[in-house]
Amino acid sequence: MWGGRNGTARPTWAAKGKRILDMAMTPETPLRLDSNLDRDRPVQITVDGEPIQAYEGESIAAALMAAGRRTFRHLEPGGHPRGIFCGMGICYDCLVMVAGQDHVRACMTLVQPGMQVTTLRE
Amino acid sequence: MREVEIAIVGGGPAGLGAALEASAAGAEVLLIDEYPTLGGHYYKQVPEAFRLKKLHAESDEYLEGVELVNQVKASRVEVLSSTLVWSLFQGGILGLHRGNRTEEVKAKQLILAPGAQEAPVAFPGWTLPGVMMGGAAQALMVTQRVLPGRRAVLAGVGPLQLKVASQILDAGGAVLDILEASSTPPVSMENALRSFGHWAKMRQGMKYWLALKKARTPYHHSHVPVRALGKDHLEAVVVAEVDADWRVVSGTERTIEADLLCLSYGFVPASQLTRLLGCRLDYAARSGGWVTWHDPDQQTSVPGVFVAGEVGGIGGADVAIEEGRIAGIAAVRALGKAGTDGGGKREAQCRKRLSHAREFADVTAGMMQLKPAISDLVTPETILCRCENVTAKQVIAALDRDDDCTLRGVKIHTRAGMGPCQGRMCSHLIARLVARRTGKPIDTVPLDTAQAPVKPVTLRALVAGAK
Repeated sequence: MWGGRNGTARPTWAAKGKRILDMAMTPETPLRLDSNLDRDRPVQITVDGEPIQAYEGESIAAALMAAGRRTFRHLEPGGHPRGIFCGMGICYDCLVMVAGQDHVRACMTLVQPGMQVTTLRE
Repeated sequence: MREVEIAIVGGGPAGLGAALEASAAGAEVLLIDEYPTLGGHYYKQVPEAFRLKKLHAESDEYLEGVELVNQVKASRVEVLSSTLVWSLFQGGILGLHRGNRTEEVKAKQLILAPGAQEAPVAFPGWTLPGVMMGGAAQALMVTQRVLPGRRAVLAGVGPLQLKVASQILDAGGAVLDILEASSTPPVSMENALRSFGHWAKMRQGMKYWLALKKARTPYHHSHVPVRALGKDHLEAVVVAEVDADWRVVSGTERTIEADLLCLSYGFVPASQLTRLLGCRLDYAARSGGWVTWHDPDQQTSVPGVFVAGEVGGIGGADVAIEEGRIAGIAAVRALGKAGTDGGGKREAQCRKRLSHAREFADVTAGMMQLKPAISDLVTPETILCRCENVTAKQVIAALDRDDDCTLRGVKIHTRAGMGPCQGRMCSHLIARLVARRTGKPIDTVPLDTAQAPVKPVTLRALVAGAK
């Protein structure tokens, strides 16, 4: 598995991790936080042809993350996966294609109804 | 071409402070910001389409931001949001890019408040999706209200990661570990004593600390992530202990399964625009590296060009807003307008608050400096230039070919820094690597010249603007 250089992890660390996981985490923990937010304007977009539910005001990056998609593109050669890194529009790692225009920053671009997003392989 | 009296670039604390004072003193002010909502990264706001149920349920700093943005909206300041300043030309001309076209505006006085970026730190696997800057996680949580990962490991230096951690906990995520690279935790008796008198900051720090205690969040100083593992995205983080000089202690590696790794290794001033204008820059290790020099009135070495906030040295939001206010007042004075500042009383108050805020900034500055051995986490296969996929091996080969190799030389040999981010990530990594390999101080490795466009602009937008 993910053995470090010396093979195994110390049990104390594993135990700590497990305790925290048991405490709070189920895979169903919702990714959209709505404790203090009303999302009342749903917007349908497609990502690589697959329909995804988003909300008005969301960035493409947030909509993809909330849909459980963290990998936005693959860089060739090697197919290196990339996603959100700086989250503030400077690193140009979260680039996607929107309606035929490539190199759109997913973190800086808000979703529009019917928007067609394509993840890049380049 | 449209002309304004004062143009301000950047809608964060510094830009907002500058806009409010300059406008109050009677100047015509244009505030330009790249994001759809004002506030910058410190006063991140939810998008206009979102509706908060109870405003008072938000954090104190969120409410401060709302107050400041509302003041600007109620003032005579003209705001251009979602607008990139892609270039600055001689004679106070700004090249703007908005809505897929370019246009130019001429300003008599210019205030640059572009802020900062987080300092990149490279190690194997740092390009995997799920590894992100702490600020990216914050932007997702505070602005977009999306949890960036369910099982998080945080790494970096200084107090900011305590804040990120408590935000993740608040959002329902698990924080599996917080790794502080330096050997002293930010919440310590020594730092508490040094922060004497800065009660609001101490209260804030204690609040985060207690939230983490309550959640029994593991916290390890003298630890860094050394590898991020995963196939298509982050699946685990290998962490190790480091000594006082940040050299990895062999045999201390452990693996934590996680889907989010947040990096908060301090900040670097965003100097693209000031470099473009040829403003003087100085190296200040405690202030984030290359800072734009300014006089006490915030004026740079180029007359008519003022700076405010992080671009002149990392100091935090409280410093930024007061520098902004002073720059705003000084720019109105430079216009030759008398202003409405009753005998400089407002300015004196700003300067008093500024010197108080700088005291605290000095405490945090001591916690946020990177040690040279951070470059040793890089292996030959580690990608340094994320845009062009250039590895450390390629960069080192270029450095070996030429003893006086500068960042520009590396760029020509390897393409590192030629991608769309214009070296915003790799230039810092390569500069550190050069300093580490040659043993020269890092201030002998100058940044490359900034070039327009400072961020990519399509040819179509330039053509549309020329018509």
